[in-house]
Amino acid sequence: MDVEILSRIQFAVNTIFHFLFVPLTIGLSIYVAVFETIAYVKKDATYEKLARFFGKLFIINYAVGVVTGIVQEFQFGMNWSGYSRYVGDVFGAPLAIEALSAFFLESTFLGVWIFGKDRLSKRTLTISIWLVAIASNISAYWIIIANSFMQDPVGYKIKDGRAVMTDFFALITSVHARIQFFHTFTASLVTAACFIIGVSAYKLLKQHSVELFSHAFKIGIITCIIAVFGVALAGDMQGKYVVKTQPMKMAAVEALWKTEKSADFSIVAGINEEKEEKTFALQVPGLLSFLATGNFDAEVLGIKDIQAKDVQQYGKGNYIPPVTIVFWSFRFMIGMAGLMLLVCLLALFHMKNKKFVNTKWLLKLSIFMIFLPYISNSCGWIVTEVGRQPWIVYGLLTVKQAVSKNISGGMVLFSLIGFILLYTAITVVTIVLMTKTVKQEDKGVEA
Amino acid sequence: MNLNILWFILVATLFCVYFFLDGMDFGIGMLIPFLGKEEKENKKMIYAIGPTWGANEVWLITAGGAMFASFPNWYATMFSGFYIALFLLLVALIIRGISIEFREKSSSDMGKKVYNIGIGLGNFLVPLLLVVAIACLVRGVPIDKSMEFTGNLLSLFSPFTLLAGITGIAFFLYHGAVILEVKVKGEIDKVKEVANIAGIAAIAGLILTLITAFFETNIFTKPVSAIFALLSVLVLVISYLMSRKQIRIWNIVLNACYVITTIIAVFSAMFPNVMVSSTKKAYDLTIYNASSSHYTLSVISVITVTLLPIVIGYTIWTYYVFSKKSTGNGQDIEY
Repeated sequence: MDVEILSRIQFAVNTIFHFLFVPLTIGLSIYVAVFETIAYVKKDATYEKLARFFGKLFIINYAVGVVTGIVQEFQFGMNWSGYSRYVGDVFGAPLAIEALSAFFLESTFLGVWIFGKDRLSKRTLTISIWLVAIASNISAYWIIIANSFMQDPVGYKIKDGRAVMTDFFALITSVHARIQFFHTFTASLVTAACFIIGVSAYKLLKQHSVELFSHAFKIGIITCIIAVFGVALAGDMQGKYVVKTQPMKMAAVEALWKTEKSADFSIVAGINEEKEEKTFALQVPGLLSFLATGNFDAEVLGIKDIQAKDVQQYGKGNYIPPVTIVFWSFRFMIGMAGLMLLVCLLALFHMKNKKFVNTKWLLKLSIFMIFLPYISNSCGWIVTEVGRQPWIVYGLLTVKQAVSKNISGGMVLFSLIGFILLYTAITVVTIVLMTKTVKQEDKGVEA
Repeated sequence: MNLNILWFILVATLFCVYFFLDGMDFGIGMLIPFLGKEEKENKKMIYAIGPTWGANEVWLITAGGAMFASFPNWYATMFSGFYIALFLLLVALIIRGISIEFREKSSSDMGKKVYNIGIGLGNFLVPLLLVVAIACLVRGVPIDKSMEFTGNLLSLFSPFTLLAGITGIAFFLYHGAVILEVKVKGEIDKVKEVANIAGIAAIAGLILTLITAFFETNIFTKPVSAIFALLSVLVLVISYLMSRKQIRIWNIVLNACYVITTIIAVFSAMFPNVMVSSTKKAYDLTIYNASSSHYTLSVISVITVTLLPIVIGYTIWTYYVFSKKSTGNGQDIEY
């Protein structure tokens, strides 16, 4: 089989699997740190228990995030050595700095926090978990700087056939990176909030520590609503920026083949990529123009025109990404976020009544909240990454040029199957372990 | 000294620290499936590596990141060239990490046994593959004029690289046993015996490795690397002789010196190459043709010089905190 296709599938598998764990690490570390701080400052037993309970779940999730993270650093060299040579001068630095500035801090102080309970003061432990939370976010920022260079390269020049860094400051203050970090950060808070909501709802259904978990449930719902609005704001900013820097991505998001004024946004549509048309569509008039520019009448460039422009600029070739994937991923991302908000508002409405802890249908519905952010997060990255095709670095290097020349399809197939088997096993043990930890009777919580 | 040389030294240093620190986890990890007769003993061994293995592994991640940032062509050629070996390394790293972290949460004996095997196997494969890979850098692998690796998995194996790998395993077993003895002070049976046997095996392996190195590498054609290669034998022998009497903290220091001398021997033999081409001398990857631009090297130098001392600071603090005997014997830690 084709090395390029297999390598792309493997990259998607590795990265999506890793990113199932990352947002919860980023978000939940902050919640646990806040719980622990309140417990320490106010000597509050409720928050002490919450910090302990969610801390345990955090550790399980963190472990998988860490072990799958190292794959990310290796796979650029293993499968994408053309890419590594071409952008290493720019792209390597954020990865190295991430390890030095964040990853050491994170893993060292998580060890301190877990194992230091009988050696260190409460204050030191609280500081430790804050260092973990801050470091995970610093870490995310460096990785997003690296990724942003692939979307919207800045601070470089081309010299002897490769990209070399010319302005480190421009690289780390890249507009794309700042917006995307805001987007990822708020999405991580949503992920953690939904996790807390779902787990608390389960505990309430089982009537475990009702007072404790109704409190956690409320915290989850309220912070989730705020964070969802944050994500929406970030997404809006990102959309408007992407239209300017990667117009093809935005056109693919709507499957907009022809340039239109006052372009409509399709809620659902049938897409025929070969004929370059929509077979049917349920549309909101002018909304795409509004999302893209803030003006309902504005013009949005269509795929065909952008393709023609790209051919002029970059030479012959097909510069159209897989439209159907991008189109639907975008809708699933937004759709799930809408669903989360809906359930949250529903819960908020019922929360005024003290009896909400006995409202079974609401609690059951809330358990499903756990899964929604994972769909949104993965789909969001699929829009970002697939929407950039055929480029690996937008406008500079194509995926085809980037793949390693000395690996064979057989080798990649072998590793791909290996990774899938390994990840399946990890998923099973992680879910078993998480459920076991959640299900534990009050023992674990009250201890 | 120019920045290319500085980064060559930094990458070597990162590998030094990594092998010394994670070496403890390799050694103790490999012993876990064999030594702990009772759960209590297994738990002690897990607690000896639990708080720090994660941070130790970050040294490897940093070394990888440093290679990527400072010598992208080295990173690209080596990682794509050693594809299958590095895939197995990743699998081993994942298995060992998951096993260490999840073992304590498994309530069944069967589950614990499976995780023990995972810990043992992972901690065996990781150093084996890494040492073989580094031995390959100095011995040389087929690389063509566009810096692409042209061999296959088998081109990584030769008497020298295999012996280096086996010697590495023996040394890490010895190193782990020494640390374990210091940490648990005779509370686990047979640790001393393991140290005795593994120590002898490491010395014998090292001598054989150096003999093959004489034929396969340039380690003995350069004064610096030759001196450090011989020095590494001396250091290991002294460490071993001292451990025969009584294992002390000095053994750990000597083991650190051993890691340092071997890494210096290998890297000074390679210098100024980062990867030797067995195809043609002109195709060697050097610290100049594989490196990033002067600007990038300057940026990462400033950042590293600022951050690394801080990292070293809190790492030492952590080891200090966890070297003290735990008051609660770790029983109230829910891990």
